Amino acid sequence: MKGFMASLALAISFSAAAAGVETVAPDDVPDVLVRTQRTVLPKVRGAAEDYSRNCQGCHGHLGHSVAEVPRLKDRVGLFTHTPEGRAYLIQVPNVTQAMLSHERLAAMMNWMLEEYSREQLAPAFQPYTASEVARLRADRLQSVIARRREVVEGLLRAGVIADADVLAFSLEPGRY
Amino acid sequence: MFRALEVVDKLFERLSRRTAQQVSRRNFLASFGAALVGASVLPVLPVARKAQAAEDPGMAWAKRVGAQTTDPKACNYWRYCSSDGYLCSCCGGGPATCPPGSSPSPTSWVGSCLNPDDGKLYLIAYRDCCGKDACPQCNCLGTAGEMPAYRPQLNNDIIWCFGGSSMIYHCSSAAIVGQV
Repeated sequence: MKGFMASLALAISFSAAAAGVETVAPDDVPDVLVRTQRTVLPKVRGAAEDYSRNCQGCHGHLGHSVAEVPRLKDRVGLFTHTPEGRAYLIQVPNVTQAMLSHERLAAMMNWMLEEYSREQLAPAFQPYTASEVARLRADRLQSVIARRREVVEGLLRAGVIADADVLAFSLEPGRY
Repeated sequence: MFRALEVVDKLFERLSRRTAQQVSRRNFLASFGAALVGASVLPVLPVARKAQAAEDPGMAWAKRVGAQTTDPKACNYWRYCSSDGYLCSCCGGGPATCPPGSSPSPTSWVGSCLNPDDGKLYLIAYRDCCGKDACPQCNCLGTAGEMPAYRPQLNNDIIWCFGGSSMIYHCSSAAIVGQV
């Protein structure tokens, strides 16, 4: 009977947690909220968690942050319009060397492109697969700056962008 | 018509009597309770996630230092599992707010710590407060999940003022990003 009552109490508290549930913005949440009110914070899981742990510190949770860090928001999808650009996104150093398996890296990149740059994706964009990521990771860039320039010039020639500054490395025009 | 109902009635009576004789009340309540709880709990307990969380360095740190959630001026405050430097809480700020005269870095690195109140892991952004001389109060060193400096994006020896208006380090803050 005691076991039953305990289980029942557990069941009730679980449904209360699921129904109860004030969702608050994170950052400086007072600990007492978590302790006494079962405050639920936004869940960061799967590909979003991998982005958070590996990319967000510099790229920001909105896909943009400071001038020194390339902006993702509303432009990273432009790279998917050419095979070279698509490859570059995986081969850029901190992507290719991320401590993620090929499967998780593919999932994270697909999530990131949808989350921050869906509108700029190539119309026939196919999500990255683990085997494609594995193949691209095996091919190491010798000069990332030179390759980026080639890729951006390719996108200019293909008419995907009209101005190289759209994909400037930083927010400063002329650097890409 | 009445007859048919009688037959059904008899059938159920016999069935419940037999159940009552063979199964104890405690047994019935236990299995009924287990079924009830099982149905509500199973979907929220992905086994793989549990296994993954068990290996998290933030959990080991929380156990080792006896992490607590009431005193943000102590090194074993739960959010500091990967914090390296002076606690902003001891310098006139809070665990996630910069003291007056300093400003939060626009960049940070992200780790995860265990909250002992609910036993869950939270992603924490370690963001330095910058633009003012160092505040030499409450020097703490947590290294859960930290990587050597050749992985600077996951290293806490770096001065995380990068991208801000000043590279002068004042203190270390720990803001919650979300719940894992």
